[in-house]
Amino acid sequence: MNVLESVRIAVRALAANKLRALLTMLGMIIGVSAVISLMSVGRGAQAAVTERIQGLGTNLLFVRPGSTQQAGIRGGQGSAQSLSLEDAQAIAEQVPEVSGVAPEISGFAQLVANGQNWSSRVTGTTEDYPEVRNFNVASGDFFTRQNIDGRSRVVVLGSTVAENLFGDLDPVGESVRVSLSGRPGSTFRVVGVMETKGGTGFGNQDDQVFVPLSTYHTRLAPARTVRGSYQVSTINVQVSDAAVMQDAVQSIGGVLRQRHRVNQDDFTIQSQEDFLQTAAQVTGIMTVLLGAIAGISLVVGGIGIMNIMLVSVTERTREIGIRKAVGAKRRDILLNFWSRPRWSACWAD
Amino acid sequence: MSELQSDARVPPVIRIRHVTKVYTLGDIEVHALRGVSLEVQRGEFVAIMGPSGSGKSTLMNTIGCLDQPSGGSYELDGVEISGLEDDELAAIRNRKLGFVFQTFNLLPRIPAIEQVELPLLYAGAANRRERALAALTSVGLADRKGHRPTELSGGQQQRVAIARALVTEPALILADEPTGALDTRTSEEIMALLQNLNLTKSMTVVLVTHEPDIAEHAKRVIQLRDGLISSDLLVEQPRQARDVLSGAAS
Repeated sequence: MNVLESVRIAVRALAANKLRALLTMLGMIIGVSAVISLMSVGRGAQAAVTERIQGLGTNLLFVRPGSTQQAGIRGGQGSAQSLSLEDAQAIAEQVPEVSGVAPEISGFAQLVANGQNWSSRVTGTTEDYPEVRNFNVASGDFFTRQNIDGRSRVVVLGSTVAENLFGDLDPVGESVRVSLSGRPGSTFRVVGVMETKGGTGFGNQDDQVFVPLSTYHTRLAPARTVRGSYQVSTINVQVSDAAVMQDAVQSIGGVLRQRHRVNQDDFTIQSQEDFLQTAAQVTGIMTVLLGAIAGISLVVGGIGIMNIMLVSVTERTREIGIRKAVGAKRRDILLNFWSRPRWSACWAD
Repeated sequence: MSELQSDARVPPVIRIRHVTKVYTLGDIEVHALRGVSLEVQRGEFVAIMGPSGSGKSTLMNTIGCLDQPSGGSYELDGVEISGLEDDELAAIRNRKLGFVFQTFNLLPRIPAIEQVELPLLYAGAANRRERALAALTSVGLADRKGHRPTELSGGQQQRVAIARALVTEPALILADEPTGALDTRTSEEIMALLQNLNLTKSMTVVLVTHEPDIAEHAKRVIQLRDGLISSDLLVEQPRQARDVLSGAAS
């Protein structure tokens, strides 16, 4: 007896037991679709997280100050006031792999305008920030080189801030009073409003305002490094190509070490890749977890089929006897009992 | 043993020599056959009788290659059976034996024609449909070929079973109480069919029964008792089922 005959017998047996075949298939269908759907949910989550991190800008490096150590007391990561505006300029000029640099420093301030007030983060940065961070204005303009050189009192509002201070009104051209805690405030003219970006896992980017870096240092908070230059808290560096990221990290490290003349690095360079890897690990664990759950349901479905097959063998011992009496070999019987669940499983898939 | 003239060139269909069979039930050994010797020639119609426990089922299973003897030798149609593997036995059953059972043992839900086709299927034979139809015709059921067992009467089911037994043109038809589940008239019809096959096609038939009425149809009656053959007699005038039927009709 060949396989074709066996398949024919199996199909007929399935047709004779429609409900059982259906239930058997259902076990398989649920199991397999659970695996497929949960795996794709996991993949989807991974893609979404990756997309969010990519949304910060592409090929980004974040240069941050290292920790401080004063009389044996060590501060946390980023507590050193070692990065300066000149460091940023040096990176832009001396590292060929770099395509854009946006230094920034921020502090918390009370904003007053239009009879409303709102506490938010004030970020001093340069005109390259929108391009480097892939974060653009929705209305009006970002401030320009001239604004920085002239230390203009202009401000670009994040969408959350604009909404809280001005509601439905267009804030461009209006005035906002900005005062960092413990300092006298000054009045800024709104030149633009940023697009809505949403959270990225690093705080809400929409809940901040941007001012020129020079204005921040001269009018809001004259933060200086130990060497007396204007201090920045982070230098956002955009690298021209993902392939030269590692080279860029090396070069930037070299420039800063030379400039700071230190033995031990007083800065850290984090790349977007690090965030991506961490996120990929987390979502990878999620995918495995979901896959395991789905796998269990598939195994349960499989055991269901085994159970039904066992019952069908038991109840068909008589039929096996008859088939053997008319000359069926072991192989024929096995083929017969094999092809049936095979068919169920095939159809289920 | 047999008083029929045996032709030296044609081996007997059954040649059993000193066959024993011992079952072990727990600690107890049951001697079902204690040394049976038997020859059946081509074209014979043999009835095996005996009370329950006499070993006739065991002998039947041995002749039918469903079970291996514990000792002795068994040749079926010139082929030594003892010592063969399961699958070799299956092939022998397929080619040389046709079974007819008391409870018909048809497969459920399968039409008659395919029941008859089944042994050919396992044999891998050609022209299966034609041969199966010819076998069904020879038992008078050509018009019932598409019916399933549940749509057939007991007598019809047994005739399908007989068609299934003879479709491979076996050396031997082995009937185990073929009329046990049938009424008298239908029993006679079945016996008429078997006698006709024996007469017209020289089909060798071995019949196991405990009904003397049925055994009277055979040309030779063997009595078993306590695992041994107690008598082996030729029947002078076998009862002709056809005559019985026409007599009953008139």
